[in-house]
Amino acid sequence: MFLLTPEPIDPTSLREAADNPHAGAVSIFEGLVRNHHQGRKVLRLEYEAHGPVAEKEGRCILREAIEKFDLDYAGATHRTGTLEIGECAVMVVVSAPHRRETFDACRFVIDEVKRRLPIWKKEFYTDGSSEWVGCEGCRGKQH
Amino acid sequence: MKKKPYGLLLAGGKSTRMGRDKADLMIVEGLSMRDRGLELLRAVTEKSYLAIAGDDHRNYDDPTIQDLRENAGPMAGLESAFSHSPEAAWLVTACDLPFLTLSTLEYLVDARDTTCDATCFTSRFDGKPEPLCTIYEPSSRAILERELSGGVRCARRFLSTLARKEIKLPELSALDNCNRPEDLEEARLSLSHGRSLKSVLVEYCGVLREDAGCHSEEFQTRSVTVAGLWEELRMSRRLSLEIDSVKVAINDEFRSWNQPLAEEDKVTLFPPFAGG
Repeated sequence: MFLLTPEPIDPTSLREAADNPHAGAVSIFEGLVRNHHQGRKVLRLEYEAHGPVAEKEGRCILREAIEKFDLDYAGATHRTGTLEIGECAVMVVVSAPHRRETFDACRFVIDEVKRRLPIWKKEFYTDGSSEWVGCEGCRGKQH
Repeated sequence: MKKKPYGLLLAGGKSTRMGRDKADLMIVEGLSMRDRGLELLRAVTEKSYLAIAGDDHRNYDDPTIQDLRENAGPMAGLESAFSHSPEAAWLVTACDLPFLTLSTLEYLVDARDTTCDATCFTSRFDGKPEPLCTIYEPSSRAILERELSGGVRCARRFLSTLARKEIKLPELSALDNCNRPEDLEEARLSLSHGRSLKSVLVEYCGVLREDAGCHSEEFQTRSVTVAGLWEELRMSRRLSLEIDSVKVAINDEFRSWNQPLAEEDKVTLFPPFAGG
């Protein structure tokens, strides 16, 4: 199950979705908002997502993970909107009969989420400035 | 009757973004961008020359004029042309204008005002004069020399200092240029399929939404591929990213830049992803 949500992520309910008598292992990854980025002090973040494409691609990543690692369950949730320091931005939960597959699958899912989902992050710094993450190097060359 | 101008086709550019000499690229079967540019110029000029870099020692079938100075771009080409034939007016075009048509050149020649230093088109993107499809009268030579000695290397800046007659483009996209393989594909398809007017919905995300100042807009385009549309939007909406860092979806499916556009397509432009 893949979900985009403007509401705070509830780890307990997401974790429960992985319960399955066939599964002997559950791995969880939580991505949190930290207070610094490349030496700058971060105050808060804003996430923007393209809903239709992100949800389609997110479901696709989870299907790939289930097939590749023979999982019993794979779920991921990504936040949108304004997030304060310490809040959970993304959570991945996977379950399988054994731990090796769940560790590998968890990493696969978060890496693909970062690489493939149309989601953008704007960082707001303590000095009052802000920046779209990932666009710094591409901007301003042309004009 | 006005004496016909001479033609100068600029072919000395470095084509860094295309990855190879643009002039050699085939625009339609058997016809390079250079051949096509010269063919168009010949139809409206007394005689036409290929402007080439000073260090270009290739053998050309067509008459050439070599740049007298290095790294001065189009201005060096025009300088050498005036040195070659000072009495002539020079119609200067570039080989990377794949959408240029004979009717646009005829329109320029008909509109020519010999009492001005130059006759040129106004850019459809920013309203400034376009220096690379322009007739430069002999009277512009002195100003060219002055600007060159003053260190000016921007042809557009030079043209802005001239007394000129500016006219509107009869075909809007005639001077859109071609710097990347995607642009060339757009040109090829438009020459073979024609450019029909389509209405598409453009969605902007992240930094591009801030650049464009809106989430989405209806946009009228004659571009054949989504790369052609990107070029139009990049210029007119002052988008701050390069095509290499942007991804595109059509009707919510990721597509390549060569994807042809259809009426009422929804085109979504994605800046570099930064989830997680």
